[in-house]
Amino acid sequence: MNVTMSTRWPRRLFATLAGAVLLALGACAEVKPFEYTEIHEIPPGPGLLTGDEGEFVLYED
Amino acid sequence: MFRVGKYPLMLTAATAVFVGGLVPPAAAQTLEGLKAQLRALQEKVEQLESQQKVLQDKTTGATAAKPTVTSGKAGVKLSVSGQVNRGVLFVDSGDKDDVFHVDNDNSSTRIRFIGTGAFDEDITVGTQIEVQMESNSTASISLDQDSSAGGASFTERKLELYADSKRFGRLWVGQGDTASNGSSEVDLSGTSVIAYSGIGDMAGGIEFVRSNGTLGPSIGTVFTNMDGLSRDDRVRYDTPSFSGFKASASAMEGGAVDAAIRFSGEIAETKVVAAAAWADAGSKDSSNFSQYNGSVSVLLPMGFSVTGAAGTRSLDTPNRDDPTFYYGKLAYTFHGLDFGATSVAVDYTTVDDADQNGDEFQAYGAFLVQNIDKIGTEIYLGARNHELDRDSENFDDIFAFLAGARVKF
Repeated sequence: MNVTMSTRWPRRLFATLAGAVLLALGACAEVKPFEYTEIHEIPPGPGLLTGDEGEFVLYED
Repeated sequence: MFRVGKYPLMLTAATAVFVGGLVPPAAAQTLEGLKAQLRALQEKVEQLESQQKVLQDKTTGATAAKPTVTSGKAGVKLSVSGQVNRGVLFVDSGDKDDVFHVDNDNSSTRIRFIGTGAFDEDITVGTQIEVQMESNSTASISLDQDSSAGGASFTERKLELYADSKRFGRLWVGQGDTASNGSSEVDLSGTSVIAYSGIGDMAGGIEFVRSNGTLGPSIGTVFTNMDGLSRDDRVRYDTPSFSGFKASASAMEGGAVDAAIRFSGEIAETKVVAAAAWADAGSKDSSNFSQYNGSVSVLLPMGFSVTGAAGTRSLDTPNRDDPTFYYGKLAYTFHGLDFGATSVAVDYTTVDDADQNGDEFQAYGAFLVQNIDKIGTEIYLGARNHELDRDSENFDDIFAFLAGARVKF
């Protein structure tokens, strides 16, 4: 039998791993919400000038 | 404080009038003089009372209560925020080395305006204008440059609006994140300001030097983290979150399309973030590629975190191998100092065939980030070594050391 390494194996490996992770996460019954901030965004939390709010609120009603 | 009351003055006046009625006509001239002094004192009292009222108004804010920005509509908010992220970068590319004063492209210097308004109890409409100004960006510098790279002008990041429904999800229109953007970059290490899967943001403009001393390809040319389709003019839809899961899809200018699924949640005090995406670049890229990519990051309660990312791309170019990308990071976050968390990390990445068939790129590094919460600041430093193996050429490694600070204002 002639066995060759497919050039598509990384894609299959990735799809398998991604599916496994998603299945594992989905199997967890108790998931508490967690607000994730993308790494390129301005981080949440206090600012040098804006204090605890982290932003200048010019107007709010 | 000096104060003058009314009643002592009135008593003085009554006494003067009473005394005036008793005195003989010869003293009338003196009485007139006293009356004149009394009128002058009365005027002075009125002046002081007026000045005192002005001071009281200023103290209580009665005269300063008017806002400088107003709106005729209720349920709306307008806010401004931003950050400055600057550092000093040292690079050694074999025969050549240099020091650069840089804007850290891991998270550029920028400002943003966010406006939100409630349409009803379910639907909120929002706008976002975010622009960056990068002078001498780490992604644009070159060993060949004599002056700073990049002009001192704003470039677009986000110019978008959205309608958000708690029941039906969010619809975005405009320049902003495509559905797949960020899907290779989830990271809970606390060190993303200097190190994440997009390692080209640390010194991506720096070129590998050939053995004959000429400049070869830059780090950014031979490396990609296959992070979806970046930001673009698009229409995007996000579903509501279901048990931490959310799906997205977007369609861009030029026919590019993508889709992603994300998860973020806390399970047994362990924070988990994951993303997976598919993208077809269409005419957005000359190679008309399609790709799969994803990443996952897990932060344990004791502060240890593990982050991984991977991707593979199919190029619509004859005789080109499919590039692949892998990334891993181990990190630890602890609170040894009163003023903020400390995070340390090591990472490793490898990319094959990104620029040419047979290219093998790898990089590894170590990093430290110290938070100073009170002033919204992260101080960071890190070092990374970059290696490129190419069939037909030999290159020296590139060593980069970056130290700087991000101040959120």
